[in-house]
Amino acid sequence: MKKTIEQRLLSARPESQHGHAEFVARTVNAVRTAQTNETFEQLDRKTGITKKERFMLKLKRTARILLIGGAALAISGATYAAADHYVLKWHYGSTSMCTIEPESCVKPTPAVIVGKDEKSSVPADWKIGQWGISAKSTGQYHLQYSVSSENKIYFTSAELSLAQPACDLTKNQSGSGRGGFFWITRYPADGTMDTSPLSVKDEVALLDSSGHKDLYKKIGNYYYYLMTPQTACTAIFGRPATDAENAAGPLWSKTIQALTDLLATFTPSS
Amino acid sequence: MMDEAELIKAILENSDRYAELVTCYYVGLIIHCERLVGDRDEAEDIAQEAFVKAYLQLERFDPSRARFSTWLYRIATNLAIDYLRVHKRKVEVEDIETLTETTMPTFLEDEEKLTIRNAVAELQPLEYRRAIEAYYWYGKSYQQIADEAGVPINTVRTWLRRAKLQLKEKLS
Repeated sequence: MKKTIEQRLLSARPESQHGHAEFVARTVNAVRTAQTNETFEQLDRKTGITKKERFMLKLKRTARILLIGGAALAISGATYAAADHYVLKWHYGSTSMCTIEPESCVKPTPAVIVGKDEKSSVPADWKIGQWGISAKSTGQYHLQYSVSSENKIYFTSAELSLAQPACDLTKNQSGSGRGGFFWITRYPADGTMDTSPLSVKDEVALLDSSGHKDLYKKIGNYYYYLMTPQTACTAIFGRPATDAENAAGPLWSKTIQALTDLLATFTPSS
Repeated sequence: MMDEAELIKAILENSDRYAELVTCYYVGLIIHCERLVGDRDEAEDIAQEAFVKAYLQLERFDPSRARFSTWLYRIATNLAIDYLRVHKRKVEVEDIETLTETTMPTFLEDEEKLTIRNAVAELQPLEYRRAIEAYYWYGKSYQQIADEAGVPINTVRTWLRRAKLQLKEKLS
């Protein structure tokens, strides 16, 4: 068969132009996750653990939350690989800045994230202890977040790639009264949500039927949910966001923008 | 690049090497899926799922019976058809096999590769060349190219169509 122009172009792709690594990193991570899930399932068959128990175990083991100034980002339900971890450090002041450093650079300091919020009066007693994270006030307008060494906030490089589409979705969520924090979480497509008796598929159908399709995105084997600050606040703390939390809106959108920019330029070192 | 059968053998021993196969085929595979389902984001999801499925079944793949790309495209095509079925959509494709062939990279002699690359380098105006490189070599979507160039998406489509006509003449 005669080759088409398109086929010839794709076949002549120079190796030096294989630099668009985002899709490759995302896919390789999905392969690793699939491998891990296979291993879990093999183990489960041996131990007799139920699917629900396994899911909860994974969730408990890997729940993680990132507090950034007045914003909180949680990525949970992820199975992370043993190596290739990065810590995201956030600095908020006259210049917003976000850096990612290899795990080795932050050891042995237990506090891995420090946020400074100059304007928000977010109360320091957020009920975030359930995530193993504490927050303390360091001044009238300063908050410092820390996390114990057992609960370091880690992102794998591939997770950062995966988080990007969900962050893009947040651009549609900005607006007055939506500030404070937001929450991204992902669930295996065949799993059960910890906060709902519904299966993830039922939950997705529910969101579809109620016109909230933009709140989730399916990427590979996972559903990524985006919760508005109000929704997330209710989900996490069992109450709506306070005025003070809502007042942190600009910070929230800055956070998202910085994180999105960062993700766009981030290249896994692998 | 090493022989495909050797690479697959190496991947079975070290999964990190799978990135080499993904790198080699993802651009064409995403374009193929996009033409089937008509949506870039869904196409990327389907292509990714195809790569995962292919990896999980790699031990069962026999390089002596088929090329990896043929097998991979078949998995992706089936996933795309499943997607269309679930979303109750139809795609007007007369011959999926023909569609598959047009985006599947194949072996070229170095000399032929060089001829094609030179033809791309000579495309005029410069936007044509940039559009071809971005779409077929860097794996960018029409929308990404349009955003970067600050032009409407239809302009990108026109650039690509005209660039391919130029290439057809040069390479015929």
